[in-house]
Amino acid sequence: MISAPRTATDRTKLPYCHESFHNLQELRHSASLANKVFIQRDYTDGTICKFQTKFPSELDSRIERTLFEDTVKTLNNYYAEAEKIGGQSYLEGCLACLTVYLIFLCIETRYEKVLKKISRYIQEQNEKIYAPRGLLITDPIERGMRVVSLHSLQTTRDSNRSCETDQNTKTQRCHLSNTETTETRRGTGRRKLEKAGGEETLLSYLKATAGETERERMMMED
Amino acid sequence: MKNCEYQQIDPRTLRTSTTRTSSTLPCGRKSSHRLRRKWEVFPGKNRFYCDGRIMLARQCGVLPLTIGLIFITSGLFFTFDCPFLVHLTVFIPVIGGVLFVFVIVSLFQTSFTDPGILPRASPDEAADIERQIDNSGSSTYRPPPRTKEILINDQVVKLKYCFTCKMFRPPRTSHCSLCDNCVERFDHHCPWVGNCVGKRNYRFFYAFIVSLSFLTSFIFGCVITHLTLRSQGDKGIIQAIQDSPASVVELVICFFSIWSILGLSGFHTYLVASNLTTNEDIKGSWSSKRGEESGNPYTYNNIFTNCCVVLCGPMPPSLIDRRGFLPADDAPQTVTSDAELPPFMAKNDTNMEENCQEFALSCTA
Repeated sequence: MISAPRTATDRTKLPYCHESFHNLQELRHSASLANKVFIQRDYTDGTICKFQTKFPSELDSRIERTLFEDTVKTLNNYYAEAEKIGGQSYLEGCLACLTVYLIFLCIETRYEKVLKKISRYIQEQNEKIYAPRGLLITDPIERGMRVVSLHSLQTTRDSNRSCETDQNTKTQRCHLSNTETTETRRGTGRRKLEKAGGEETLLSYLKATAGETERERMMMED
Repeated sequence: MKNCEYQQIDPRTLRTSTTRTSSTLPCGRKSSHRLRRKWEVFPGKNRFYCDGRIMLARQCGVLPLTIGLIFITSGLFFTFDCPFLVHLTVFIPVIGGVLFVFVIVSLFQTSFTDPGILPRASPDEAADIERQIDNSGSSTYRPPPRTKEILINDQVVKLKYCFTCKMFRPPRTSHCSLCDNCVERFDHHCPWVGNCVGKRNYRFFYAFIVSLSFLTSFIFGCVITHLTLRSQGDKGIIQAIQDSPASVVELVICFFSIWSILGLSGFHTYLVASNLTTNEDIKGSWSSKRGEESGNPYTYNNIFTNCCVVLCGPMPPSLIDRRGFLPADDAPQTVTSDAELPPFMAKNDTNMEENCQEFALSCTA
């Protein structure tokens, strides 16, 4: 029997936290809005990328204020480093100008390097701090640098258990996608996900798919 | 039972359907590897080529004319004027060649690069913003709906809500009606290059117009020199023109374009030096004529710094990830203003099974 058309197949060169995010994407339909928190941009310093450090009230009981603020402040520092105007950026700009900007096709800019650092940082934060508390941060680049979004993982556990009996077709979709392993390179990881249960699922899944990300990223390069 | 029904629909849909939208279902074995990339479902009015590597506005305007004029003028120059002028100095064709390459490369980069398009807000974000708008509201003065005021460098800046993209536009961002996208640091939509000019491709655009003004001035000067040298030696100007009619064509093209190109270069040099965009300049956003204490909050108050920041600043990444793959959850996660997806793929459809059945019936009909 051909499976439902909502299983993960190829991945782009996104870090694996987006893999988990993708799982949550499917669950998003069943998750209520209260389980998502969006941290907006802070424009007081101009158009540079900076997020508000104000602690959202929805997270009061979920995570310590200091941890959250540290994460956002570190992210802001990373973005400030990427957009820093100084010697290196001028050198890059002048070199690019002389080569009629063709150099952008060949080398990775400093911004892109910092974005990779940010992805790794978010991954690490998810593993160490947020996943144990039942939350997941998504990389702002996924959202067009507009927001940092936090998802609650509570719905994962609840949805998995209630999927079969739930009449809502969206929840059904999540059941189908979580239990069926079809033409997907991530099939193994997904099986592990649905065999385990609850929040500890995410950690094991993250670890299981950690190795696959790099391989896939290389395969995706074209 | 419902699971079975849902699964039964898929094979029929997959076998009978040949449209692109249906091919996203992990349809059978044949197109299981055929995943859609994000550019295929991009909601803006853009055209994509080379599997998403190159993008243009849907209305590419007079880009073919621009390319044609440049190629024709340069071609005529290299064919008819250079052989004559190379006797003067060999650098003339060399400089001409370098300028020509600069112009063409920067033109293509301006036209084919993402100008800084902001992806539209996902439905969750849009709903979150809506909630915030409903909840907030001061008891005293209530600003017009859907604007937000923020302070940037002690300057009050109004952020407007974009109804198409369902988000508050960041500062200096504007929605281009021709491309139907919000573009960061929106300068203008240039029909000559067939694309918007924004944060990511402004430096290419500036390089294009500056090198083009050098090229047209150079060709103009060389043609004048050519005709002058030919008309010397008792030949007269009429004879010279008859000997080299192509030069007259180049002269006419260069003469008419030089005014506008030089003017545009001068204008954009002023904008770069004061860290303004065409959009802001035209609207007079930071003009002191308004009588308010307003100045450009983005300027560094130093011409050199402004130039460096605008032209040599860090190159921001493209936010639309056009070559990324769509997740197997078919419907795009962005808000679209027009419903192009067939009913069975509507994301917010709660009665999906009915639609699935309808579609199945229509396939078998």
